[in-house]
Amino acid sequence: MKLKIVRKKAENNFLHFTLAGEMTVYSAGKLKDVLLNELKSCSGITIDLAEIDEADTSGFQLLLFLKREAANLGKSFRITEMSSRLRNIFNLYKEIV
Amino acid sequence: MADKNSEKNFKNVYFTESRELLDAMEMSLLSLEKDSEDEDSINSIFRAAHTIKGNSGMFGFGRIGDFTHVLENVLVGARSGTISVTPELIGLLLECHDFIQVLLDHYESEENRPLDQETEILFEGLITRLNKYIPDAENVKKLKEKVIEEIGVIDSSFSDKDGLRVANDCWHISLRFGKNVFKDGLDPYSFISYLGEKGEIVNIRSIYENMPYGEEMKGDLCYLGFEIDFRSGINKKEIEDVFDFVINDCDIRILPPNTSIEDYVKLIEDLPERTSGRVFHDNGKSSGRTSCG
Repeated sequence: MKLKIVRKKAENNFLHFTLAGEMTVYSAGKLKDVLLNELKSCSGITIDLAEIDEADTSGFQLLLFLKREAANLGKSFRITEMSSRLRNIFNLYKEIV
Repeated sequence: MADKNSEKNFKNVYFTESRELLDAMEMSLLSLEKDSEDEDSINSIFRAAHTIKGNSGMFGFGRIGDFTHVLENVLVGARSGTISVTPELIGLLLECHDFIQVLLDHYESEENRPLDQETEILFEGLITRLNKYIPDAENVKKLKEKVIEEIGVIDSSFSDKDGLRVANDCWHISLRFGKNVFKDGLDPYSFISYLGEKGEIVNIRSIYENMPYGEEMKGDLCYLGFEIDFRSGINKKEIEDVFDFVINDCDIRILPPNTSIEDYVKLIEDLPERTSGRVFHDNGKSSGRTSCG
């Protein structure tokens, strides 16, 4: 599993993450735990996925999950950039995030 | 025949979804007020009107269908630039939005009661004002086909007057993947994109009602399903073949084109989710389940 996560504090108790590498089934379990915990500790998350060069449907599912979880907790979750690999998946499933 | 309850449930889906679409339409109208050239907003308004029109026809709410039909023609013009999006037009569209709400309330409370006189006058008044924007009917028809193609909404006009029919030329495919597909090294993406090579995925909605919240959700398990409208000349067997490798790990239901409402109701009742509104094509991208980033 090759996934690099960079976490940065942003204004208004927001966190900004930059992810690079794989968003696949191999990283999904751990990544979910990490991001869910972080989401609970802040007011909102922005996430840059421009450097995700490998992804599968588990990555897509994880983003849907985080979006729903954030809405449920009354927090904000926003993707700022998406790699073409991820974009392809979202395009196929016709989901907009 | 589906029993009365199913039909009622199905109609509830219609009302709920129409209201969601109206909410989306309102939001887009408000953004259009700020930026009258915002194509996404115009598309979303068009989608909402178009889908409400189609669904209204299917459920026999012809007056809502008639109204949204004219509205849709104006939106076609706005989208292709033959009608300019002025504050007056936006104002009129907002009035139309409110009026559709009135119509929905009316038919929801008393389906068979004709509109009262006051509502009829409002109806005609708005139609007259809308029609002033439409210069040339023939042109509108052509433009509309183009718009529908470009933004990928289903043309669900209902010409079949004699029965409740889901009048589209698409297969409907319901997929529910098993929890272990990811771990088994299978990616739904591969199957669905392969399906896309065999025809056109006109509409697809991700279903994740059964995905647990919070800690309970496991990132490497699959909780996804998809409802797909698929236009293609291939037959049922060939569609099944696409999912051959995942057949033991996926629950697949396929309805042929032009399926009757009763069969759709059966499908909905068969599905594992309690809320199955999403089976129904509403092109719900506009309903804001996941917002833009």
